Amino acid sequence: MGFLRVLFLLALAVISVIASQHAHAQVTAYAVGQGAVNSVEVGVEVRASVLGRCGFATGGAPSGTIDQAGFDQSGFIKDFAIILNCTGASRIAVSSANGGMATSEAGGAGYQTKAPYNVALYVAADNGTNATATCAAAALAAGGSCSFAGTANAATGLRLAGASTKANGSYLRVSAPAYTGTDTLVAGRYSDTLTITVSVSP
Amino acid sequence: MAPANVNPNLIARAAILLAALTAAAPAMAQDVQQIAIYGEVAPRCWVAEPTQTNAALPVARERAICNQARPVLASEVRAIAVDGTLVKRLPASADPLAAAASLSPRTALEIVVTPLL
Repeated sequence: MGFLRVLFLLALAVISVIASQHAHAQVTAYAVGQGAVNSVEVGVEVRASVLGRCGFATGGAPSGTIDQAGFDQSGFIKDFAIILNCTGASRIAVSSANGGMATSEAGGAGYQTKAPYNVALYVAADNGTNATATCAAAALAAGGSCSFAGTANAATGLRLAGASTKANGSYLRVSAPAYTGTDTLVAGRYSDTLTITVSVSP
Repeated sequence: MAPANVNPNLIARAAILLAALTAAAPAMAQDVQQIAIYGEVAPRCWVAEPTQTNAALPVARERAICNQARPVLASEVRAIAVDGTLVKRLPASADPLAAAASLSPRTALEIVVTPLL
């Protein structure tokens, strides 16, 4: 008989605990004057993960222009410094608007209105590793075959395996020797625009 | 006013989702920069095949090549001696065979082409 009493009291205690937990899980709050409970305190557990941060450092984006007169005879070369701010592996990609230096002057048989040039990328990490590649501007146009052509994303672009958060001597180099093509370059003003993008690389 | 039923689990899940999205968004973004490349090709004219040295071949009328999109006008032909001095001015329309007959075999012919603007 005593055992049954103990068992009954134990069951009563368990029911009481369950009932109290349910009351905590589902609370009804009322407007002031409409009920006894006017506010509910809710404990919110916030979990967040931060992926690798990657971009150009402040003042470290390649910028500026090159303007070379008589480039068909002299050629040209210019380095644009790059400082990355990537806490992990990154990719950097380049696209060319014209696939070469183009002019709006009229061409014709035996004449050429687009001058070839090369784009080289050299990116270095904080740990001393680096990645480098060179492509003709023609291979950087839309659909080009260059290994770093296009817009940088997880799978596109020249990959730098290590973090790069300071000035490590990275650069983008544009260059061309004196023109030696078969067709004559038409006299005129030539131009191209390179778009450089950088992205995290998981 | 109707009472507000609050489900703490739902609020917690929404908060976690928002926090995750906020943290992930900047890392996914790309950094973009553009640089411009300019160059200029000056208008020029030159003589096609200027190194014809075979004396057995007849002297052909020299042909000028210009890289301008506009037409050009060949104004005159100059005969230049080996020391660089001007030997003779010939009209562009002159017959090179006849003109060359009176000149030394080592005389160079220089075509001056004036752009027709």
